[in-house]
Amino acid sequence: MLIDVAQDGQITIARVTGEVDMANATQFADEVLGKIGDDATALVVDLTDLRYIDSAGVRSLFEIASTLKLRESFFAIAVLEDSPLRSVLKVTRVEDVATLCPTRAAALDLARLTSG
Amino acid sequence: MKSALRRYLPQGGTLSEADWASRHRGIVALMWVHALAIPVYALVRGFPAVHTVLESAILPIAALIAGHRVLTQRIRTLVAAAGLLTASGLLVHLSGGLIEMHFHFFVMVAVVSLYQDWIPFLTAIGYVLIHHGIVGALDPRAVYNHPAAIDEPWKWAAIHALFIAGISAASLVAWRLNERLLAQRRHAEERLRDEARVARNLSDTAAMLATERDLSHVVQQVIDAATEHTSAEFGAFFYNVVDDSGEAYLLHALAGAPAEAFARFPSPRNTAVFAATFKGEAPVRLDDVTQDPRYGKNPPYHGMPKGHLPVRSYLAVPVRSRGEVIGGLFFGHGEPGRFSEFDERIAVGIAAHAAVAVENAKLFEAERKLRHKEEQARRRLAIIAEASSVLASTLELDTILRNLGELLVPAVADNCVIDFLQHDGSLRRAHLAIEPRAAEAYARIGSPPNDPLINDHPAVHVIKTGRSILVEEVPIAEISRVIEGEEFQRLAIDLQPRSAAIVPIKARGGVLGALTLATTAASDRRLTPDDLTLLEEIAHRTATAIEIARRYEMQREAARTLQQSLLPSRLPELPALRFAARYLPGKSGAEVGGDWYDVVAVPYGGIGLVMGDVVGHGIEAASLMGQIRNALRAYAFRERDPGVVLERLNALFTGWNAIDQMATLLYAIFDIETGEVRLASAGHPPPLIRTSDGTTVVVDGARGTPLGATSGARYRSSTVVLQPGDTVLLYTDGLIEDRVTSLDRGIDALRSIAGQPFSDLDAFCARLVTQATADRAVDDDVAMLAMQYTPFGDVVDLRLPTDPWILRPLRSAMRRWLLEAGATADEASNILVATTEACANAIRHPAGPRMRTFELHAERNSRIRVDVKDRGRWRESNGSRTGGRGLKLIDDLVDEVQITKGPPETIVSMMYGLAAHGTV
Repeated sequence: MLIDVAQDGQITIARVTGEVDMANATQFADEVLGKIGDDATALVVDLTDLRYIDSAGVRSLFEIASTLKLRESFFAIAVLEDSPLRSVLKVTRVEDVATLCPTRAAALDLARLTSG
Repeated sequence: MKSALRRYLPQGGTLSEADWASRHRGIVALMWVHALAIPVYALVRGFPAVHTVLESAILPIAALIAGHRVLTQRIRTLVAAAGLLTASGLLVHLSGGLIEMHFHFFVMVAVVSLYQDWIPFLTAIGYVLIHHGIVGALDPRAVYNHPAAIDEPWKWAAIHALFIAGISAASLVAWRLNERLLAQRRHAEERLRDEARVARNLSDTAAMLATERDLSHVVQQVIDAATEHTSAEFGAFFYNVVDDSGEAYLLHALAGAPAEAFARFPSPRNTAVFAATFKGEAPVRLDDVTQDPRYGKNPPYHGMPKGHLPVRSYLAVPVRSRGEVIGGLFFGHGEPGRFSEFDERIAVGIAAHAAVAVENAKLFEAERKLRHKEEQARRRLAIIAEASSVLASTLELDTILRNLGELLVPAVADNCVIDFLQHDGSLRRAHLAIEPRAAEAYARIGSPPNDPLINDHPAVHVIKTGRSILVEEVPIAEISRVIEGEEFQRLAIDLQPRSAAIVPIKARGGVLGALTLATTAASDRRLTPDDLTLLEEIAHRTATAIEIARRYEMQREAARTLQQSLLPSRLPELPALRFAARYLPGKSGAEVGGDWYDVVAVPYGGIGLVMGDVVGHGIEAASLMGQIRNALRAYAFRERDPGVVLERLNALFTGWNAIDQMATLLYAIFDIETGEVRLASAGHPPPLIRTSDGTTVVVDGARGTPLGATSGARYRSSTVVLQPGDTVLLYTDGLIEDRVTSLDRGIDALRSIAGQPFSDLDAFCARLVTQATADRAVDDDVAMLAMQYTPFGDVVDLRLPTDPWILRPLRSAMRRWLLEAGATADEASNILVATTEACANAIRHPAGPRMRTFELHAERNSRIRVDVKDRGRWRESNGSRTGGRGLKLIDDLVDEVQITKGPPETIVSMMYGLAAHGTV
C-alpha cells in the first residue's frame, strides 16, 4: 500500500494504491488523517487504483469518516463502478458515511461543489 | 799487629781444587824427572850401583805416593814437598857438597810455594833448616865442598838461611799477590752470579705475572715470589682497589704467614714507619726496625701490637703505577740484619712488575666487566626484540602467552607463570612454562592449584599495587606461604628455588595480571635488578599486545554478533514459496565478512530478495552492511522498481563513503501472482534460475557498478518470469570464485552442480555449498539464498502463521490459483475478501498465546471451496467494529458459508460457484 496525498485548495486528495488489509489498515487511517490539511473542508480518498480492501480497510474508512464528521468536512471516495472493491464497500455500507463516486474527477467536482 | 800480619801475609789454602791439581801434576812430573836423573848422576859420579839404587830409591816412592789419588790432598802435598827437598839433599850429597847443588834447595822452596799453602811451605823451610843445621853440623863434608864452609858449617848454614829467607819472602809476596787477584776474580764472579740471579728471579716473576689476569691471583703471586726471592721470613702486599660504587679499599695478600696472623690488626697506613712507603718514597730497609727512630711513634699500639709476628729486619717498597702509589710490598724477619741491598733490589724489581701486573689485571677486569655489561645489554635487547615479534605474531591471546612463556623460559628464568585478573577479582592461571622436572611432577600429581591464588600470594600483591617484586634469594620458609598444597610445596622446595621476580602486566585501564618468573637449581641463575627492568619492559609490551588482542577479539565478536543479527534469523514461510539459505564464514580469515542476504516485504504483493557483499572484513564491513540492509528495507517499502532502489542506495552510500568502501548488491522483487522477477544488480554476480527439469539459466541482465563506486550511477531493472517449480538462486562471489578460479568458470561449475536433481531445497543448498567449495580453500565468506516457486495445485493445504503480513502473499498466490481455475476478477476478489476475512479472524482471535498457526484447505474443481480452521473460537460481537463486517462480507460474497464453532476448533467453510463452470 502506498498513499500519495495532494492538496487542491481546501480539498485533500489521498490516492491509495496496492492492497489494504489488517496488516496495514491502521497505518492507512493514520496516514490519511495525518495528512489532511488544517483548513481542508473536504477529503477525497481515491481508491481507483487500489487492488484490494477488506473489512479492516473498511473499518479505517469509517474511522476517517467519523473524524471528518467532527470537523464537518466532506468525505468522498472514488471507486470504479465495476471494481470488485465496490461490492465490499456496499456490503459494509460505507456509503452511509461517505459519498461514493465512480471517478476521481467526479469526487473532486462533488467536493468542490459541497465545500463551496 | 794480627790484622797487619793477616793483611801482608798470604792466607794459604786458597787454591781451588782445579788449580791445586794442575800445579800438583807439574810438581809430581818434576819429582819423576829427579827420580830418573839422580841415579844417572850418581852412576856418572862413580858411585856403585847398589849404593846408587839404595840412596835414590826414596824418590820414585815419594813420586808414587804424591801421585796416588786415593790419598788426601794434604798428604800428597806434604809428600811432594818432602820428596823435592829430599832430591835437593841427594844432589848435594852425591855431588859431595857442590855449592851449586845448594841452589837446588832454593829452587825447590820456590816450587813448593806454588802450592800457596802454609804447611808444605813451612815443611820445606824446616827441611832445609834441619838438613843444613843437623847434617851440616854432623857431617859438613856431606853438605859443603869448600873448606871455609866445612870449617864453619854454622856460618854457612846461616848464609844459606838468608838465601832461603829471601826466596821465601819473594815467594810469599808472589803468593799473596796471587791470592788477592784470585779473591778479586771470585768477588767479580759472585757479583755476576748475583746479578744473574736477580735478573732471573725478576724475569721468572714477570713471566708468571704476565699470564695471570685475576687480581687476587696476581697479588698473591707477587708476594709469594717476592718473599721467596728475598731473605724475608714473611711478606705482605697491601694494595688499593676501587669497587663498582667508587669506594676505595686497602686489601692485602700474605706469604710466609697464615692469613689470621694479621687479621686482627688495622691496615698499616698512617704510621711513621709505613707512611714513607705509602707515599711512594724510597724503599725502607732496616736491619732492626725496633731500633729505628720512627718506630713506636703512633698510637694506639706504639710499635707492633700484641700478638704481631716478631719483626726485626724490615724491608718495604712502594708499588707505583704511572706516578701513583697503588700499594706496597712489606717484608719482615724475626732476626735483625737479614735484608741486603740485593734483597732490596729484588723487592724493587718485583714491585715494578707487580705494578704492571696489577694494572693489567685491573684493566682486564674492567674490560671484562664492560664486556659482560655489553653482552648482557645485547642479550636483553635481543630478548626484547624477540618478545616484540612473538607478541606481534598473532592476535590469539593464548598463543601469545604460550609463545611468551617459551621465550622467557629458558632465556631469562627456569619457570614462568602468567596470572590474569578476572572480572570478579579472582586470578586465572593463564599460562605455565616450567622446567621439565616440575612438568614431570605435575604430570604425576596433577596441576598445581590455580585459582583463586592465596590472598597474600605475592602475585596478588603485585597486581594490587602495580609494583614489581624482585627476590634475589628465595627464602625456603616463604614457599609454604606462597604455594598451596603440601605436595606442591615439597616439589617447590625440591626444585631449589634461587630467585624470583613478579612484574605487573599493566595496561592503560589498570593491571591485567602478573608475570612471575623464578630461577632454580636447574640453571643456578639469579635474577638481577637488570633482569627486572627487562621483565618490566616485556610485561609492558605484553600488556599492549593483550589489549590489542582483546580489542581485536571484541571487535571480531561485535562484528560476528552484528553480522549474525543482520541475517534473517529465519526465512519467511510464504504460500507458494520455499526458501533456503546458507552462510559460510571464510576459512582462512578469522574475521567475518560483509556478506548478507535478506527477504523483505514490499508493497504490491511482492517479495524482495536481497543478496549483498560489502568489500572487506570486520566490524566496518559488518556495520556498513547493516546500514545498507536497513536503508534498502526502507527504500524497498517505498519504491516499486529495483533499479530505483539501487540508485537511491548508491546516492546514499556515496554520500557516506568517505572511506572508499564498496559493496555489490543484487535486489529482486518477486511477484507471487505472476511469477515475475524484476531485478537490478550493482556489480553483483548474476542469479541462477534452475527449472524443474534441471535446466539452468544465468540471469545476466544489465549489471551496474558496485555501490559506492560512482555517484549518480544508473541501474536498470530487468525482468524474468519464473515458471512453477523454478528455483532462483542468489549468492555472493565466495561461492564461485577464489583467487585463482575465474568468475565464468565458477559460474559454469555452479550451473553443473545446480542442474542435478534434488528433492529438498535445503539439501539443494547444502549440496551447492559443499560441491562448489570443494577442493579449494574458501578465503571469502559465502552467502546463498534459494527460492523455489511452487504455485498451488488443485488442492491446497497450508499451515500459516497467525501474522497479518501473511495475508497479502496468500492472496497473491490464491489469485493466481483462482484465475487459473477460470475465475473472473470479481469472483476472485470476492473469494479473496471472504478468505482473508476468515483468516483475519483466525489471526485476530487465536485460541491461546501459543497458537501461532492456522490451517487453510482449498480445492478447485467446478466450485471453489476454502476452509479456514483454527483452534480458537469465532468471536462474533456486535460491539466489534470489524467482526460484524467480516462475517457480513463473507456471508454476502460467497455462495455458501458454514461456520463450525468449537471447541475444539472453529472452521469457516466457504463454497463459491464460478460462472465459467456454470456453478453459480
